[in-house]
Amino acid sequence: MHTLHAGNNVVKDCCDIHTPAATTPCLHFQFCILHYDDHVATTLTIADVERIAALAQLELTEEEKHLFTKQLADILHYAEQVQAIDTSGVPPTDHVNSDQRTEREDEPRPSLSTEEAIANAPDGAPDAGLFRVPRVIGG
Amino acid sequence: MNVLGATATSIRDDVAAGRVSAADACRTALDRIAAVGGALNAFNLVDADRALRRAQEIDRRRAAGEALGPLAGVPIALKDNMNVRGMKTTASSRILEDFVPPYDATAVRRLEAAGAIIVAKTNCDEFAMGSSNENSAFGPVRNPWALDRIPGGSSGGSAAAVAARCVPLALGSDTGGSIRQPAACCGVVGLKPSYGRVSRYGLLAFASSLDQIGPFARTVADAALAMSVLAGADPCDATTAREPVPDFAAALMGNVKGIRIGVPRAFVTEGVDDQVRRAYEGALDTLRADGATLVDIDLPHAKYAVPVYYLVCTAEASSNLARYDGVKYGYRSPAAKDSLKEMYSRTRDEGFGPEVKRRIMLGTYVLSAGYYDAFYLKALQVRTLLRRDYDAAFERADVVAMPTMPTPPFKLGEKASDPLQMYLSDIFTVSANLAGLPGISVPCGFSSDGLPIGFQLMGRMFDEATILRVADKYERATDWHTRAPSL
Repeated sequence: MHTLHAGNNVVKDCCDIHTPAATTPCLHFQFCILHYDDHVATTLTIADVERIAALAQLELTEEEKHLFTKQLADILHYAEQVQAIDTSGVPPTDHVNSDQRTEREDEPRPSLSTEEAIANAPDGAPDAGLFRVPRVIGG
Repeated sequence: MNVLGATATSIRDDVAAGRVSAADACRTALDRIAAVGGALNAFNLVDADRALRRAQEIDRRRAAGEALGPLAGVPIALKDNMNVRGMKTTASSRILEDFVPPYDATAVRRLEAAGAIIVAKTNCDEFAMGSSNENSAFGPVRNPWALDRIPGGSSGGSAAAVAARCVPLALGSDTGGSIRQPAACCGVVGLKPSYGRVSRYGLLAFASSLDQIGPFARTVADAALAMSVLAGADPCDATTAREPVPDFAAALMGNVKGIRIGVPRAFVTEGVDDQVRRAYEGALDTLRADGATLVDIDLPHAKYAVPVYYLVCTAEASSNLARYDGVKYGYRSPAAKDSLKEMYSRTRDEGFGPEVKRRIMLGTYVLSAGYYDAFYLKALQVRTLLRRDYDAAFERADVVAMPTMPTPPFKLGEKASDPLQMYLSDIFTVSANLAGLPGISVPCGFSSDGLPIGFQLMGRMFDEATILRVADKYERATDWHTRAPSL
């Protein structure tokens, strides 16, 4: 059912979300992907990417920042189609078995020894039973 | 007897009857892995000594007249994102390249208690994130049917290992199709159980509300056998279901009379390759000829499943993968010695590959202030609408059938530079994970290039038995599953 697009404007029906009158950026779904590149993607700047990378504790290279700015904008733009769906009064599903009761007595059970738990640490201190890390504050 | 190419069921029976030793079955698998594993790049680790020791122990127990388990002597491979105590688990990531887990996954413990012999860990997309197995830090797996094609992902190594007759059974994990899609690409059976049916304890978490462990096999009967061993509640995984586990093998009754197969015609439309469509229609015709009834169903929100899936799975992944910080296990960057914060961010940048970083970034974004409601919460609401679609469909139908993948396996590199294009190949598989439903992919034909095509049956929650029954009947009526790649 999808056919023609011109820039941001849907010239003809592209999918069941859009009508010829639509002037918003096309939020068409999966099989319209051939026309996807015709559209202006969600605005995302290098500064946005740097902010997200800092939240995610990722130190990206300049090349990665540029690549992700484009790719994440493309993906987010594609994902914006969900925003057109009427979900008023619809509860979220964060988990399909969430009505299952899982409470139990909080009692000690066998678990890993300290030695086993530290064995894979890149800088373990087995004698002290600790993980060693670089300085946290000061310098 | 010819152990190479034997099913798990027949190896189990032959070992139990003394017609073949578990050690010989194990050696046959190891020899085959040595012969073709390199060309396929399907294995991250092969532990021949451990496998042979355990196989000999099975033979000793048989000789002593002790009881043997339902998988006694069956060689099996595990996707390299589940833990075997003392055997490296890498998730095909640099950040876990040298991680040696101190405990067994529950699925592993159950398999070994049933007598299965773990021979290898298989290559996969890094942290199970991918649809082509090209995101592995150790290089892509190749499709046994055409070495220049993808094996599917993310459990590509497990699918290739079964297709290439290295092992009759392998485990994968399926978060958005990562068992079913590679099963279709490699011409084998792949089952994603209902959410909560198989314990995730010891499976490296990617998206915890979607991840499930399940089997690859060459026959539906072998997949049913594996499920009987794997399924069940586990105190170590609070999300496992208390549902009773039926005898899955007994469900394979050899008929589909009275079964209503839901066909979502409006959903299986554009974007589906003609050859895939023909194979799918052919499978429906076969099942109808066998006595099943086809009923039209509507899944109005299924077309949103891909964006919903990528919003949900990346949000969960960004949280789950926060644990890889260079402190407790895995890689630590040698470059940042003076600051904890810099050590975290350098370690994660150097240790994770591009797709993992992309998903952590996307997930962090959709959970961040100002975007949570518009993206993440919205996706969870549409997830509810999608579940309602399936609830309605299963009032009219007993199973839902659709292609597993919209195209035959594509060429390595073809979609590697465009993540969004890659995500779209998951259109038919992600719904089952979002709704928690079981799904099975079964071979249903080959393209003109000789590439495998599969179709998928989805079932009601915890009704693996019915999809296994229908898949088994289809398999009995066709011979696709008997074909082997000329490797």
